[in-house]
Amino acid sequence: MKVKRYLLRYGVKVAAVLFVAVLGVLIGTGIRSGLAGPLTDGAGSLKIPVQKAATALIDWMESIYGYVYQYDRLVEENNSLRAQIAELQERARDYDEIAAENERLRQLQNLREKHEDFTYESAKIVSWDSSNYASAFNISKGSDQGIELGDSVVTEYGALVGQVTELGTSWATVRTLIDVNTNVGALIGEMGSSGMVVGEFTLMQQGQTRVTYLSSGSQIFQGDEVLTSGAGGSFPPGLIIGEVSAIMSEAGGQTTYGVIDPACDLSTLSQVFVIKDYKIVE
Amino acid sequence: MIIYDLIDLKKIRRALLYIACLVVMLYIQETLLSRISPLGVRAMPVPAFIAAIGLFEGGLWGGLFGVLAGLMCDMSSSGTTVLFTISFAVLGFLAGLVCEVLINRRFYSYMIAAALALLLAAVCQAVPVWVYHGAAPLALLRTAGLQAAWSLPLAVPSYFVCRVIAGRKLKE
Repeated sequence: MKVKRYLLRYGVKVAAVLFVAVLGVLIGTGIRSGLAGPLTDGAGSLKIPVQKAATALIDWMESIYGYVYQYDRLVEENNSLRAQIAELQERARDYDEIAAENERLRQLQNLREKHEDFTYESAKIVSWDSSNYASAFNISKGSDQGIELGDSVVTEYGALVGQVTELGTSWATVRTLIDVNTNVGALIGEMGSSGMVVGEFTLMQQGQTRVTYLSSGSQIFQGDEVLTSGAGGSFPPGLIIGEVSAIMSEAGGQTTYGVIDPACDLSTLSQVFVIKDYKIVE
Repeated sequence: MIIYDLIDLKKIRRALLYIACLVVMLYIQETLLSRISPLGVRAMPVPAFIAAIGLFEGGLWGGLFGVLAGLMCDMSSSGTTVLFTISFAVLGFLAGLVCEVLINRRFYSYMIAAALALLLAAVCQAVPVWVYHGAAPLALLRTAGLQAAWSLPLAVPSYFVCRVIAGRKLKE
């Protein structure tokens, strides 16, 4: 009786407010077209400077923590990186010779050069999505800087990070490649078997994703490199997605899929590059 | 002058204090707590704050602030449109209802209400992932449980903040 009286007293009012609020949200968010509505855009633009400041503060505190408590690990990492640099310098010297030889052979065979022209926009990550059911972050650049919906986002090494899924004037939301909503056309291993990288909830929590829908007759192996295929035009071809770390079977046991360790380390990511435009010359 | 007399400035002041606390809490949730995941999950203490408002101010205020907090969460979260707006409003309203007919306003009662609110909010987030992506229900429930567990200690300040703000109502 008490409950009924309470519901009669307040229920209608709350339902009315809720209805108006839902309508407001739908209009404000542009009914999830990806382009932020005026309400969301305004709120996002207001938040970005504060989030930037907060992120800078947290980064600074983390750097102090790292200096104090992780000194030994950093020294070890530094030594390992020095060794890697020496190895890469040696490879770079070999590369110059190989590139020159390649150029000579191209001229001999009258072949056009194959290259990729990417136009990048660098951006800082200002905040991560607080949800445990999605993997996304916000960056400090938006449509004012020429970023468009669907643009690919990579690291400084060219490893795929994700795709722009929501856009404001001075901010954008990037859905990472491990998110449950992500679908990327992929090429796997030296054979170049085609497949699809599709996010999965349990793997997302471990920072992994999976490659499935493999073309018939194709085989995947542990250690195979996975690249974007460019199929569908959502992502440029040739971006590094990651490496197959395990081969698993679906529940029925009839189809197999590969678990992928992404090439980019999402847990330490602080800066990304948005590919605003690309042209591939074959 | 008549309009001025009709406006309850004390109520407005209280509402503004709640809004200010809510904004601060959302900022902490988005900038700080989104980077800390000791149990492998991120905390989301805002539903507990809504439950606290419902507890001290009644279902109408709980529902209204639930709408406001949900609206802000929906705008800042990727992949949700009205999920938080609806679930938080219902949570706030239910907290008021439960306080009216079942429990008192003591701290332990609040902790039970907050735990339920946090769990309900986490389950509401998990359901679309289960429905649209076929994620394993057990993994989702585990995540929801851990999210509620990690958010619960962070919900403690909400009780005392809301009690201080609502205390103004009693004094007034």
